[in-house]
Amino acid sequence: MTGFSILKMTLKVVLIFVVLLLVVGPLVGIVIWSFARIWYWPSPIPQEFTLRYWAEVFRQGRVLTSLMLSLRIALITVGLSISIAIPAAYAFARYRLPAERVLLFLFLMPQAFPQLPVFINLARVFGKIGLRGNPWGIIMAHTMASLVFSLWIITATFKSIPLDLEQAAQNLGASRFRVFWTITFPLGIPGIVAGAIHVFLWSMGEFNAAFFIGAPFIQTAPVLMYTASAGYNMQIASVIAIVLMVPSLLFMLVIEKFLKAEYIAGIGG
Amino acid sequence: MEVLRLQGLRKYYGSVRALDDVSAEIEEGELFAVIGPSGSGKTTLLRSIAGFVQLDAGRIYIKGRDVTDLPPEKRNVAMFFQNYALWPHMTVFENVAYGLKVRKLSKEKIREKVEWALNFLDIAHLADRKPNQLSGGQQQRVALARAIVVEPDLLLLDEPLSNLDAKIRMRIRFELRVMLKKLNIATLYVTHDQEEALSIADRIAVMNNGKILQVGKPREIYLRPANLFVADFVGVNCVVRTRPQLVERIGLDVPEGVEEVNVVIRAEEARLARPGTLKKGEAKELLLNGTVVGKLYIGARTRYEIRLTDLEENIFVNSDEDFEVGESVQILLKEGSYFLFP
Repeated sequence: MTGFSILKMTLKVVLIFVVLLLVVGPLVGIVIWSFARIWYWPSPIPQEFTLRYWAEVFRQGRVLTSLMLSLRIALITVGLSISIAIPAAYAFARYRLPAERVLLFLFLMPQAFPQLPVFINLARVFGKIGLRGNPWGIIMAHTMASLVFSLWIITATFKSIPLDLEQAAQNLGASRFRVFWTITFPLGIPGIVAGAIHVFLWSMGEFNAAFFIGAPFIQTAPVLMYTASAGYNMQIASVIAIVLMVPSLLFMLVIEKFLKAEYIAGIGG
Repeated sequence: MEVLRLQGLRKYYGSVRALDDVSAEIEEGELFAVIGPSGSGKTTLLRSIAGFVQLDAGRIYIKGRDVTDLPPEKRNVAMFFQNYALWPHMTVFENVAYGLKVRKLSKEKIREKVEWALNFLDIAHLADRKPNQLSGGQQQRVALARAIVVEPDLLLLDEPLSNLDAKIRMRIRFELRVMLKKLNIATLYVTHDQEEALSIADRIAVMNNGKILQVGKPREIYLRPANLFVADFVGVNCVVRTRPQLVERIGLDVPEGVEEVNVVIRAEEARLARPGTLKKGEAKELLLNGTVVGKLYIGARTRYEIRLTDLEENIFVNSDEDFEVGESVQILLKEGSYFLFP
């Protein structure tokens, strides 16, 4: 019995260690790199530490500008993606559309192929209509490509809401529009929020579209990070990576609180 | 005054006839039950009156108004859903107030009416709870409160007691009837439980394969079933399917030209006794001879399988008395507890 539990304990510790290594390891590496002045292999920690790169990043202001740009693009993308997805998802969930599966699959297309050629082609098209080098071009590309997340997640959510709940409201005299806003929408909030998180995080970290459509003057945070690390400046890239994580973490924390409250309110039970 | 009139309703799902020329009327304050096995079309009937099923033919009138082509929200009928369909994101109060808000009543008026409904159903103390904090019985009352508070022309109840456990169901049957009678709202009540319908309804329609087979007061349905299906569906019965010659042996007249006869025996009313102890009283009574071929103890009574000597078939009858397997017995059936159908 004791032998068994020691074995179990050991396995547990090893498992936790592996998970930490995989998930937290790279993060720790990045954090250490951002403070390193000289760090030669095989030393486990840098030979010399410095705050220089942090200072540099914030002094330049480039990082914060990029970050704010990324944030704006992500928020507008979330807004557009979700407001297109909600009515479309409702139609998919509640009406029998012709070729429903094909339609749903169409939205997967931008994500189904390697992103590089997809967005290079889109950049050419956008170039002709003046959307290249324009944040709105990136927003449009992000909205299009992220619809698959928002639409699929919200469709599934609406489908999971029993039809009876809508019919009960209709039966008591509510118009279709009223039924949607008072019953379906509030009950679908957890799914809508989940879709929003997905779109937000994807947009914040998206590189290809931002790079090819934004070029040459628009630099979102991932693009900036790419240029920094392409110049082998690991420290600058690490600092940007850490800064880039902050809005995503905040967004998730806020949303998670909201999400849990909604679930407790009834959908889960 | 008639509240609901159904005229020749038809609904086909492919080749299945969910509603096959259904006509009926419901009077003011009447409790009208529709019973039938699952798939008989009773739920389709209810949903078509609520407006959730598009009819292929026929008209529906509510208080003289043709509502056949109106959407569900314009019919002023309130439906009670089998699984209650309470909105999980609203409190009990908000659930009940919903229909009144839609009707644009003032805040005070809504509060007053909701409080009346909650008090009427004895759930005022639950007003601030969410549906998932309620027991099944409490949810059932909230769903009922939500339906009656809007003062509908017609109340549609879809298996209102089927989600409650057996003990509560028995008690609530009586309460529900008293409640509905007090409200005096015309009610269409759908159930598969014939006993429930017999005890609650003023009138009953028996449905099968999309057709209404018989409409009548509970007593009429029980004592004078119009056909084999109704006779078998209502009450606890044994149906003996046999040849006409054998039926004539027990002294019943068989119409000419039939090949087979069904004798429906209300097992719950059959009296079992040793030969010689029972005497045939009135002319309409029937005395059958048989032999006990099996027995099963089921609590208060014992269930006997009996071979009928004349009809050459087995039936099941419950009795308080003790008989042994192999013993000869007699079965007394009074008028209205056996029926003959071709």
